[in-house]
Amino acid sequence: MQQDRRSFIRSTAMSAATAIASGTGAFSLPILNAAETSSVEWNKAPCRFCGTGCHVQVGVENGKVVAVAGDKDAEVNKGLLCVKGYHVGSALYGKDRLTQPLLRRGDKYEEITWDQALDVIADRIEGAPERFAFYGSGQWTIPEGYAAQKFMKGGLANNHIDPNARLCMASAVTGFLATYGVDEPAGCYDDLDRCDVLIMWGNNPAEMHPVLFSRVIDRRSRGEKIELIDIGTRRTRTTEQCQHYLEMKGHGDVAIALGIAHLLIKNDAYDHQFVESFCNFKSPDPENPNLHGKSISFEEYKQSLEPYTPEYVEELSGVPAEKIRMLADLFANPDIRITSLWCMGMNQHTMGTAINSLVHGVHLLSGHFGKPGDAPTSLTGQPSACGTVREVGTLAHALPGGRVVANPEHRQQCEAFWNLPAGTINPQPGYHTVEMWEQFCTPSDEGGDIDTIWVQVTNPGQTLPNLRKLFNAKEGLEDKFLIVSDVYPTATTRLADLILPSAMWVEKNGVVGNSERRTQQWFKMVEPPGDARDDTWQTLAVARRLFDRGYAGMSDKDGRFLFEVVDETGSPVPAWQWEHYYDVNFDKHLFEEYRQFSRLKHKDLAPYDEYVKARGMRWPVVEQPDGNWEETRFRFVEKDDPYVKAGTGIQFYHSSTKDDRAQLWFHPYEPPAEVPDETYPLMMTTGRVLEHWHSGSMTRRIPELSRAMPSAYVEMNPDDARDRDIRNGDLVSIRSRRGELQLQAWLNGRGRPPRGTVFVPFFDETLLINELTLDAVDPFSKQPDYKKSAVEIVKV
Amino acid sequence: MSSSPKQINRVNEAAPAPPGFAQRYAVLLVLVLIGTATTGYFIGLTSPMTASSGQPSPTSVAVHLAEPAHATSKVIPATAYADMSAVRAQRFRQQGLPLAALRKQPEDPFAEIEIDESKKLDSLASREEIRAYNGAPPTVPHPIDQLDTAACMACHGEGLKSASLRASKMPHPYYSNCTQCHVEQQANFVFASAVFENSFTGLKAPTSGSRAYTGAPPVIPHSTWMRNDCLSCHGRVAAPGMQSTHPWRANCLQCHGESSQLNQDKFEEIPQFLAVPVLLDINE
Repeated sequence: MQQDRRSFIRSTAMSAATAIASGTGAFSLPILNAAETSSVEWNKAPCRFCGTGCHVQVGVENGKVVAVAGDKDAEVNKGLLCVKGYHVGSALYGKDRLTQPLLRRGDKYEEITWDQALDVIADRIEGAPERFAFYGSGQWTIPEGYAAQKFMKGGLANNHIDPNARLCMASAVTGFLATYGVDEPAGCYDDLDRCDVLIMWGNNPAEMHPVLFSRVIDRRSRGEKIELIDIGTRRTRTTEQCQHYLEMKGHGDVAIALGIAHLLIKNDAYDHQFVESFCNFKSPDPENPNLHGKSISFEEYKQSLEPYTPEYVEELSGVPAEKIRMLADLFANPDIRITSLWCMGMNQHTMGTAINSLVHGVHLLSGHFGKPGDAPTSLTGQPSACGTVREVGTLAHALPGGRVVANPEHRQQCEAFWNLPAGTINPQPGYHTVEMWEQFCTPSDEGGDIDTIWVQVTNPGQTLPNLRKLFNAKEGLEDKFLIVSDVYPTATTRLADLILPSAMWVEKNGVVGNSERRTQQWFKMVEPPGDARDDTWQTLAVARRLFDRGYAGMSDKDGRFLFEVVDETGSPVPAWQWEHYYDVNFDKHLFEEYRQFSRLKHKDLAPYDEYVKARGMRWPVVEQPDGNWEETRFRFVEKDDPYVKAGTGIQFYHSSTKDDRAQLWFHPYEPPAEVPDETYPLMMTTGRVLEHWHSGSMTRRIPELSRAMPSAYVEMNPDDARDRDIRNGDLVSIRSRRGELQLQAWLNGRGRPPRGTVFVPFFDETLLINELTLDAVDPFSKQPDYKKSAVEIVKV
Repeated sequence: MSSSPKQINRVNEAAPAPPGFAQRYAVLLVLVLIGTATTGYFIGLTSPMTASSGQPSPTSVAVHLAEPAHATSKVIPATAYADMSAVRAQRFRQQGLPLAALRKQPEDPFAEIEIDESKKLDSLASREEIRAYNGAPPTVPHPIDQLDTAACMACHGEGLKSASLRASKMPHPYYSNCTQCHVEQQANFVFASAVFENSFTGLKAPTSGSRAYTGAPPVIPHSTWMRNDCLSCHGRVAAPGMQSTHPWRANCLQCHGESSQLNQDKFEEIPQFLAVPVLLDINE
């Protein structure tokens, strides 16, 4: 129905437009009737893959996606895409799509109906609701995450819900919270158009965020001058475009940031006015380690930085002292604009919170903040890590809109929005990702108190660190039950007891939020295959099944179903029945409900229909006196951010010290959790490659991408290879304390690691490098460090 | 000036070497050449490129990829440097090209070009083989430098065409990260660890633009976004049958209309903006 109505509106509007253009409805240009294009319907959607949030135009013909084009009206990508984006349409058509619910019987699967599947899940939950956990994703759409959040924390009063984004950007969150008192970047992609210097901290945007990287380097083609600086652990495609490559050891970034701050203070080159007006100083409190730390004076801050001379930083980081001076000189120059970019390098880090805070600190100390082009900006890897995880708060400790379960006021507000009896929400944070899987993989009689995990839109069987301990150990545990909603068989479905086929991308409606606070919406354009269904519907249907069985939590305090939606006449729509799910726009109902939560932290969202018209809008989106909804480019900055008081210039209005100031942190350098030694003399980093996204479950099924990058490999330095009699293409065995894997060696290939470092991409489900990675986590964010595992390599 | 012819004469007189001198040098040169070649051969034998057993040759990779990429492709796959000479010789043999043919006179730039319809369809078919759909960035049918994109510009900056090879001209020269969109059609360095089938069917390319009447200039049947240099595909380095009949005319859009729909121009986007009424106050 929806489709037809939209097509109708579209064609009416189009003829209207033609009429306007030509002055008469009767005249038509032959050009519009070109036979080749008339049957293709184009519509907008954000790309399915990374956190950049490019908009694509999706071409649909005969109910199938047949083409994709960069959306010229999208501010993020301005008509350009990367190779993944151009081929995103093929991701729907892998031959092995899951199309039927499957229940494990011994070592085989039996096809069951959705009705049976819902009963299986309801039985598991009813049996032990407190031992049930939901493992979600930064690929969840906002309505999907919101439904799961409400189902768990509202319906089951159970806080064991955590997303894969814990593995991805948890330290960015704690960095923002510790510094500004509120999450998410103040700047946006517009900074990339204005900066004079771009510093990439352990970041390879040429491959991981190519559209953003092009946005910068294409400025050079237009004759602009930009200085690019790559601080990294190996040479990459990004390095080739940079004027400076600062090759660092693991945790070298911490030393570098401290070294810059040291020099800014020593040379009296910091921005006195900015620091005196807008900053307090903090250091970690060893007695009570939390994001508030302890306040210190400027003198104490200065003293703490004293040891981090350029020479000492060189010793710690491996970066020459003169390069540290060069960085400090750049920050000392108030006439240039400096943008910092980072992603997994600084986040997957056992000092993740510290290094995030320190980089914000360098920008604050030097006053390189709040002017277009002057911004510390963290990027995300998933399309809705910001929208769904950080804003909807699908984390074990959080509630929607920047609230936390531990805060009684926040719980009360949520109970009011959800119309739940007071005291429903559990004040105790649930298990974070690593704990959740550890509990699940521990036998019940040994204290493992999670029995059932429902996984949606992610692939923990490939992406968790130390897989043997945190995932593979589930095998053979009879009382543990794994439910997986996915679109293809994955490393996770290997151990699944119940597999649910999901609809993906333009097979369903969706709303997501990208790295620059931009909320983006799209409509369903094609039907999912077989019995595959929306993840939101799956959550809704299980909730309804529990409600029908009389499970008290699934009703609000007036006895109405938790996810009740009424039509124009006021009567409830049975959206939990699949054939009625699209009778209403369920996404819109959930979004409008969720939108109320966004005001507390001034992350105001506009009504759903505003996003239908736009190529995304950056929050806070505030209604103007003329009825228009206006987005915000630069947060905390007067004139751009409507919540900044006039005359203040910059106001950190969510300051954790309640004085409108940001916190400038000192954190002492600490070595990585695992450092190379005699037995394991090489440092292994893991990551992505241009062609594959996340665990490769979609991109591996796209022929153009999988042929270009058909398997994982290990990048080695030729000298390390020679020492081990390894030649290009040789099969080698890579070993860590946790596992062993055989891969082909690639010398002088895509990336070029220095001596002592190796790199392995994690996209290959047949070569699970995460069986080798370390599961040590950051003390504040609980995010693991995938970038520094000690390994040894021998020729096979 | 009377002295200059004398000087020239002196130079000329000095040039001829004593007899036997040239011979001695020729023998020395030959010896050096043989020596270098022999040393080079043995170094070559022991170098990692050929000695490593694990290094897959381009053919072994093709075997390991269950579905060899575009087996029927008209695009000539480029060759690893090591195999270059052998392949080149073979290609000349196959195509029966005597080296003398390369010494052809340059083409008349103003000669009228006749379009062979069947060659055009052939070219469209091979074009389709290296793309997922019409409008997708083409994949690269030869090995690429993994780090540096400047190498792309050497051949594709202006495009080139020889008797046996054609490098298309980049139609959008202001994008500087080539590998962001264009990836190798087939990786040359590792085995495929798994192969998944896919049933995506891409949008077909139009075979011609429509004409308002016989003899009218055809409209452009594709988007001109990122294809704004018409001569990249329709100029002198074009694939057979794709050339313009009149490549010397420089202002293509003078006669050939674009499609605002295909170009995503604003007024075709009205459905996305309909709900915002734009009220103009005439008095303001």
